[in-house]
Amino acid sequence: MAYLTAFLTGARRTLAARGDLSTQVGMMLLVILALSSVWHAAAVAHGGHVGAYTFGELVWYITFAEACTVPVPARVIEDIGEEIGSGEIAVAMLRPASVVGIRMAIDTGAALARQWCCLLAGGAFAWLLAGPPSAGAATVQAVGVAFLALLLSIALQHALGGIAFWLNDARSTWFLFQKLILIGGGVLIPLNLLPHAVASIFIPLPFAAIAYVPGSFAAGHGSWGLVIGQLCWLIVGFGTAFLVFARGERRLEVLGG
Amino acid sequence: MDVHPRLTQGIEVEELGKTFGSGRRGASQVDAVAGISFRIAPGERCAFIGPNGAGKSTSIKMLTGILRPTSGKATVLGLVPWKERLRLARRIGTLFGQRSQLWFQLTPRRTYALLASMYGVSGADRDRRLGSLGKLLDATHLFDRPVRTLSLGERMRCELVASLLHEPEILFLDEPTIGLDLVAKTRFRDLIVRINEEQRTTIFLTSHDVSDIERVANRVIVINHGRIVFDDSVKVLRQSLLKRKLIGVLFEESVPTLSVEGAEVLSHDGAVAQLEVNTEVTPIRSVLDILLEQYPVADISVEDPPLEEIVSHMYERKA
Repeated sequence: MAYLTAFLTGARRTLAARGDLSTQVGMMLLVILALSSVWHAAAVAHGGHVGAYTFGELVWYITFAEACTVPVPARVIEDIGEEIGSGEIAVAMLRPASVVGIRMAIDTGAALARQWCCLLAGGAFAWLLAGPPSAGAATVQAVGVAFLALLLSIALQHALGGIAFWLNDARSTWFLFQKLILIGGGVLIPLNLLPHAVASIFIPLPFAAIAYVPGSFAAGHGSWGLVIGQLCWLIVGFGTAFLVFARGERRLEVLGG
Repeated sequence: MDVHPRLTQGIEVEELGKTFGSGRRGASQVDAVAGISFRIAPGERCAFIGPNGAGKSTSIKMLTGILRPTSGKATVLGLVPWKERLRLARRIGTLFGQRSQLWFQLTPRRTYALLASMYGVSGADRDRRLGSLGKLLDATHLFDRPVRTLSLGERMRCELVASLLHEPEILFLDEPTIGLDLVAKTRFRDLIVRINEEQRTTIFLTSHDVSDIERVANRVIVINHGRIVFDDSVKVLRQSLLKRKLIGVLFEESVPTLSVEGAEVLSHDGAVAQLEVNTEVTPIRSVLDILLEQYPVADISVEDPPLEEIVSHMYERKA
């Protein structure tokens, strides 16, 4: 019950900060427009296709990849690091509930509210730019996969943010995470468009499960193998986050007020 | 407000110690708390004071289960805090003056809903308690305003509601009046005393403000360099150590010489002066009367000596 209330509180918090939400959605639409222009030029130059993708599929790919990364800012890692480094985490530890559980429930509520806004606005924008998705049923599946991607991003960020229990700082970690999602996750380029050797390294990694997998489903190129990989990473991500916090809370050293 | 039915155990601390830093290099270790012992009975109002770095907050964090001690024993309400943190959390309340438990983007009522669900307080009980706490703290009208629009004094009242929502048996207050103006401080202190008297909630307070201690606590434990240097009633503290007052004076014009019977001039620079009075020898009122009658006083203030000074007096007395 506490976790459900925390989830709803997070969602309400996002919806209450309308200015922030509008800015994020607006920025996402700008990125979709910019990347669509690039892919349009590439598709025109290659007879309407880029690799296995049509222009329309690429637009829907970008929309879902963005809607899975924009709602969970990589700075969540930095926020967690700051809470640990400054001792702010102590307030959360005084509650009769799991610190990381409540934190993830709040972040999931907040991110899901943002993701729905991004999907609605992004979906309408993609429809205007490229028409309806070519594979309707796959796009519906992509919504579910996008939610799993969101959960994985939150779990991984908490696992990485928890490093601050040992280092007292997680700023370098969020910078690295952001770059890995952008390139290794396939936000800019679908991973199967990269040279085979590079793609075979990136696709099994958790970053691909955050952007590439939902993007592929939205473009009609998804497979259940990708979802199974995503679910495996989800178990690893949540398990690691809970383990890191459990160990970290035991060795917390907060000096002074 | 109901009296809590489980007020049978308080706080018991025995040789509790906490050392920060690497265990491999002795030179980098800091003894934040060096073997303190005390007992606090249910319903007591105890001030736990000391200068910066004395070990107050570290002690509170050990007693609430956030930090694990390096030596000694402690039980709070019969539970070992660092081993049974989640169980203990259901039975204690905390308020840190420098850390907020309310979400700035939301109204306090939303935060209370989340806290109530964490503590397993039902919707009906939550509403009943919010009703009575809102009335007690005169805060009901603040519950539906976004936290970011509240003044510090208003926010602290809402923070106190958050700390009391689950009817804790012990309330840990860490610098609860920091940053509040004089009126808000006075009101806040009165509220703490009322909560203690009406609900029999044990109060464990740390503060740098001597007035917090005088008005809220009936017992004082002073800690310095991780060790307890005083543990007695506020009455004893006042009689033995809080008998000195500092008077700050601003004159309307420069005063060439300053001499007041019963007071020692600590500093005097033209239109500004500071004096010290031993109230055991000279009543503060007589010194103020002389100043106001004989000098062109523009502004005047009476203050307690800083806590650091009081603690150093304790050391002198011990020596």
